[in-house]
Amino acid sequence: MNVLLLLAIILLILMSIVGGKKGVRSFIALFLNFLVIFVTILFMLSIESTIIVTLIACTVISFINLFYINKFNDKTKAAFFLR
Amino acid sequence: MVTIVGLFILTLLAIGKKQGFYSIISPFINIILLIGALNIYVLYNHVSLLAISSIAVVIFTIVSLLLVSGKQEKTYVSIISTLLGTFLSLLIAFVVIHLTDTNGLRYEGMEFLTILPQKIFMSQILIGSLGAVMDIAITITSALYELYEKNKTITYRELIKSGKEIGGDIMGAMTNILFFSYISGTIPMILLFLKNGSPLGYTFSMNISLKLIRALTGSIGIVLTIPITLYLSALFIYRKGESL
Repeated sequence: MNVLLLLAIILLILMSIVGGKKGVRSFIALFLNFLVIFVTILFMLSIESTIIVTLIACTVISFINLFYINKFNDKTKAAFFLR
Repeated sequence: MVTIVGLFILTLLAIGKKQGFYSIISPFINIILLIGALNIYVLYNHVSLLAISSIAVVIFTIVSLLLVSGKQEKTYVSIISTLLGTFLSLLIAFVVIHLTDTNGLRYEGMEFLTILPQKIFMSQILIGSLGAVMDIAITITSALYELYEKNKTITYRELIKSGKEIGGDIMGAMTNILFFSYISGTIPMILLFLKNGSPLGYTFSMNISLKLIRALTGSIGIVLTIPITLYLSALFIYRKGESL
């Protein structure tokens, strides 16, 4: 079995034990973030202005994280605008 | 470089006052320690790097936590839980890497050849997860002690419940920090590989596998440290409460 896969499974199990439903959501968000970064890197190849690409990616990533993991409340709204 | 360091020191002083001053000293001490530890390794080749870095990690933890938060009970709690969390995550990484026979690891990404890369990699995992684990330990102990200070009638069960809530909130953010900081360092290499026409799968497994494993072990360390710190601080808080 692959080292990465096994470690990821261990992490998922630990996160669901420690954080319950929120832990599982955090794990999924982590995975989504990874996908966003993957796509961002692909965009960086063809688009000249990498900073704009990165800025968009950052916004998408913080949106995913804050609102998906913690749902929509005042705490997350503050965190999103302050980031 | 100097400007950035200057800005960093100024913000620390402005926000942290005296504590900020100690926080400036501790990274410098850590850098000196790290250089010293590496020098010892270069001088005495037969000593294992993992042993040296384990000792270094213990010293790092004690020095930086004592400097940052002073001689308090919560400092000792966070030192113990940091060390437990770090070494547990190292143990897990070690077992997993042996169980899977290093399948999927690309040591070619490390450019040096004279020393076995496996040993260096283990030390990297150890030191890499230390910072994040320390952060978690100090956050949770300080939050729990503060909760207890504000409301001394809080029950054990309530304290644990609030601790779990805090842990769940910071867990996602901290694991993300690890992933981003490791992956951002590989972006130039990945772009270079792709621009030269390397296939996608090859590029990613070549550049990212080691970093991803470091990030994953660090995250495992974080997630393990949350309950360790939680129960340890609760134990100390209520033991003290009974003796009073």
